[in-house]
Order: sequence, then structure tokens, then C-alpha cells
Amino acid sequence: MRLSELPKGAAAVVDRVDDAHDADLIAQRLRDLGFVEGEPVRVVALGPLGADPLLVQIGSTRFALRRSEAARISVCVETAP
Amino acid sequence: MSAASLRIALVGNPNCGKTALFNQLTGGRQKVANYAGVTIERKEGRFTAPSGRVLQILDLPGTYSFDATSPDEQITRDVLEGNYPGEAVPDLIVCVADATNLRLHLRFVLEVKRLGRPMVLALNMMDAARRRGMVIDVDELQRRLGMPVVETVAVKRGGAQALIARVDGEVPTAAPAQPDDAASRADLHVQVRQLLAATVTMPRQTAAVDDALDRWALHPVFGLAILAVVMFLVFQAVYAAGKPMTDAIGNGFGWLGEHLASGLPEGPLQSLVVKGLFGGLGTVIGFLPEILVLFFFILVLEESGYLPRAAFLLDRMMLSVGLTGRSFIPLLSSFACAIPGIMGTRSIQDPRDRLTTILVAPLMTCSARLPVYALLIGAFIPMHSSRQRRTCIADGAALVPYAQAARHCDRLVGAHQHLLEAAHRRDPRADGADVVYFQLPGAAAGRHPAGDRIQLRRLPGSRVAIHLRAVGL
Ligand SMILES: Nc1nc2c(ncn2[C@@H]2O[C@H](COP(=O)(O)OP(=O)(O)OP(=O)(O)O)[C@@H](O)[C@H]2O)c(=O)[nH]1
Ligand SMILES: [Mg+2]
Repeated sequence: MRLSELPKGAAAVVDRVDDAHDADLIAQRLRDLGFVEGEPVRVVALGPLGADPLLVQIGSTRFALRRSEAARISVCVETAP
Repeated sequence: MSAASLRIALVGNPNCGKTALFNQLTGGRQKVANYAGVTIERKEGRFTAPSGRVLQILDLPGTYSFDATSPDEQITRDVLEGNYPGEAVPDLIVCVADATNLRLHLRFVLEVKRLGRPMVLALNMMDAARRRGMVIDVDELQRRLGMPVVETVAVKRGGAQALIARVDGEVPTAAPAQPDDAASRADLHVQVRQLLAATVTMPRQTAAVDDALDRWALHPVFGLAILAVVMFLVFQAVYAAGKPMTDAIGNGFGWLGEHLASGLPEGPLQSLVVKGLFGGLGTVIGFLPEILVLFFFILVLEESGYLPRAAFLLDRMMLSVGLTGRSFIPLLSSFACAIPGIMGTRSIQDPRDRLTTILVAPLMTCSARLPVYALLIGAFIPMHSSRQRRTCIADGAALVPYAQAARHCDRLVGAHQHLLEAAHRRDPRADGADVVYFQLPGAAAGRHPAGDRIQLRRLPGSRVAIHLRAVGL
């Protein structure tokens, strides 16, 4: 499942970040920000128009990610809802 | 540079308090605010340690990693690598980390450590960490990281004592440099997790208050409503709070000018003093309260942490006009002054977004432009309007003699009936203007219902001057 598809409030764990193209700086930046395997993530809030951007919490940090950026992150939902 | 002076660079993730620490150490006044990307340039300060040694402290823009993607991060990287023109490699790196957010910040600490340079870790925001009930085993962290670790509270007086004591001592020995490649990068996260597990106990991830506030502040409907109200109040308050002070300043200078001028003989000198010096000063300084009030509110917004949230809410809308949510902060600060606004765009990563924001920022009305607008309106907007009766004119800057004012108006309104009447009778050139009075109890200045303002002043030689400040329609 992609992070961009994760419903608001649901807890998940990062699986990996996929490069959208070669030398994907955004994907690299996401990894630097801590989107790496095993990190718990949660979508805290959604932007008012078109549910974009997403406010994503990883650890105790919150980052606003555009949908296209969040789509690079693949996550596993921890428990069945 | 004396042999005794030590060059220290402050580095760390954005918004961890590097600049607050820099100000605390050097007594500097660099800008501190609660969002990432405040510092966008290297800043240098000096500080004499208790031992008498001179320390040169370098404040640098925050960066998430050495893979610099924005120009401000590039500066930090260049300085640390010794590639910054005219800048020697720092003798000691003080890596600042937000103690409430070690998961993110420790990764950068490890990245810096690989440079193999002497470094000290400053765990900043220890006050906030304690409030959240976090317990950090500093000794263990120190041992595992292999570098000295000190606790600091950059916003409290004396909160950097431990750091001062540490950097004043012996320069710690550096760990050997390590190569930087993709595989070892992934490894950093593993190390961070191990470090955290061994040294930090954290009862909960975020403060409950923050969560509750964000539920409202970032709500798709209420969030936008709150944003609209906040912006409305800020700009409304600029005039509501600034206007009375502006009036007081204008009146004060007018009064001062008259009193000084009464001792001078009528002529060019008197006119220079009354109209030029005091009239002009009164008008220009009269805008100071508005500017100060605006700066105050922008400061409150910056320190509250609301700005990144507003940027989040507005991102999609800004996108539709070719900007990004990140442009919001520089654009808002451009209302105070466009220059720091433009410089602030350095933290926008995308070069296209950065350029568009730079091009738009000067179009925001910076507060210092208000007097200029007033002047230009006075100079270029024709006094007579064929379509409507003009109740009065705007002059913006100077005291206008009655006849001149009256010739430009169809109607003159004012509070001081006897002054207007006397002037009207005395000044035959003013024929044709219709004089209307209204009385405000005890007021020296009248406020016309249309919102313009006229001030009547008795000038030496019993001429009457009319000081008009706003455009009347
Ligand atoms: N509670 C608390 N707040 C702090 C402390 N140090 C800094 N702050 C606050 O943290 C925010 C960021 O501080 P800055 O000094 O601007 O951070 P910076 O690291 O220079 O940020 P950039 O220039 O964007 O990289 C401000 O709102 C400070 O008031 C601290 O020790 N305790
Ligand atoms: Mg700073």
C-alpha cells in the first residue's frame, strides 16, 4: 500500500521508498527524513483541497508531503482496522 | 587570527535552536523563529570564554542531510567541507539536536560524525523534552556516540553554560572519517534506532496539546476559517492599533512646528520649518506605529509555529497560481519588508518555485511603502473629478493653505466651524467651494463620514492651513 492511500489516522509502518526516476532527489530526501523500513507512520491531517498535501507524522516529527511525494513511500498497515 | 582563537560551527537540522544558541553565546541578535529555514546565510560572532580564549562562532542554515537540495543547505555543506570561499574549516563542530526529536536529529549527528572532525553534541530544548517526560541517558549517549554531549536550553538565560564549559575546555578528539555511500546511509537509521533504544525513554510521541490544536488548526474547514480570521485580524489590527498613534504623532509634530514657527518671521525659513521639517517628519514618522504593529504580529505568528501550518493549508491554492505552500512564509514576511522575504525563499528547494516566489514577493505591499503610496496618490490622482462631487482632497504630506485646498474641493468639511468660516471669508480665491461643518465634541480633528480626515491649524499670521491625510471621495 502507498502512503498516499493510507486513511487519515491509521497507523502503518514504512516498507521502503521507491525512486520515481533515476537519481530521484525527492526519494533520497524522504529517506534522509527518516522514511526507512520499520518506521511507524501516521497520516495526521489532509489538506483542504483535494486532500492534498498530507501531513505525515514519523516519530515525533511532522512533514507535509504532496500526494506525488507520499506515493513514493510504500507502507504496511500494522493491524487490521 | 590569534593562536588562541577557536573556530566553532553550529550545525544541525532546521529549527533545532542553533540561532537561539548562537545569540545566547555571542549576545547576537540573529533572527530566531519557529519554522524550518529561518537562517539562510552563515553568520559569524565572537565570544570570549571564561578562560579568556576568544571563540569565533559560526551560525549556519539548518540542513537535514549533506545531500544539499536547497541553496541554504549548500552553504552549510560548503563550510563544513572547507569549500566555502574565504572560510577555513571550523576547528570544532557543535552539532545541535532537538532533544524532543532525536529520531530525526541523531541521524544528522551521525552523518556529521563521519566527517571525522572534532565535535560536540548539544542536546537543545531540554526544557521541552523534560516537560514531555522524556529521559535521556546522556552518559550512555556520550559513550555510544564517542563525543561529548551537553544539555542546553537556548531560550533560557544561562541555558548554554554546559556548552560554554565544554567548548572552553580541550578540543575533543575526532572519530576517524568514514566514507559516505548509499549502503552506509541506510545503516545510519539502524544506528539511530539502536541509540534511541539504549538511551531514551519517551512516554509519548507528541505533546497532547499540540495534537488537539492541530486538529482544529489543520481542519479542512475550520482550519481555513481560522486562517482567514487570523489574517483579517492581523491586518485590521495594524490600522486599528496604529491609527490612534499615527494621529497623535501627526498632531504632536504639527503642534511643535507651529510653536517653533511662531518665533520665526514669516517667510521661506518658517515655511521650511513648518511644512518641510515638521509636516514632513510628522507624516513619515506617523507610519511608524503601523509598521511596528505589523512587525509585532508577524513576529507572534513566526514564534507560534502557525506559519508552517498556514503553508500546509494553502499549498493547493498556491499551487494553482504556480506557487507552493512554502511561498506563504516569505510572502507574508514581505508585508513587513520584501528584502528578508526574498532572502527567505532560499529555503525553497525547487528552483522554479523559488524564482516565482522571488518575483512575486516585491509585489506584496511592504509597510514602509505606505507613505510612498500616500505621496503618489497625492501627486497623481487628480483632485477634481467630473463624475462626482469631491468632498475634499488628499495631500498626504504637507499643510495646504486654505485657498489651495478649497480650490480643489467642491465641499470642505471640518470640525472647527469658526476657523473654516473665517478662512473662507478671508480668502477670496477660495470662492466656489462649499463649506460644510460638523462638530465633534472637543475634537481637534474631524472625521468625515467618508473616512477622510481634515485638520485645521491656525498658522502664524492667522492664516488657516488644512492638513488632509487621507483620500476623500
Ligand atoms: N522550549 C525551547 N525552545 C527553543 C529552545 N531553543 C530554541 N527554541 C525555539 O525553537 C525555535 C527555533 O529556533 P532557531 O534558533 O530559529 O532555530 P534554528 O536551528 O536556527 O533554525 P533554522 O535557522 O531554520 O535552521 C524558536 O521558536 C526558538 O524560540 C529551547 O532550548 N527550548
Ligand atoms: Mg537559525
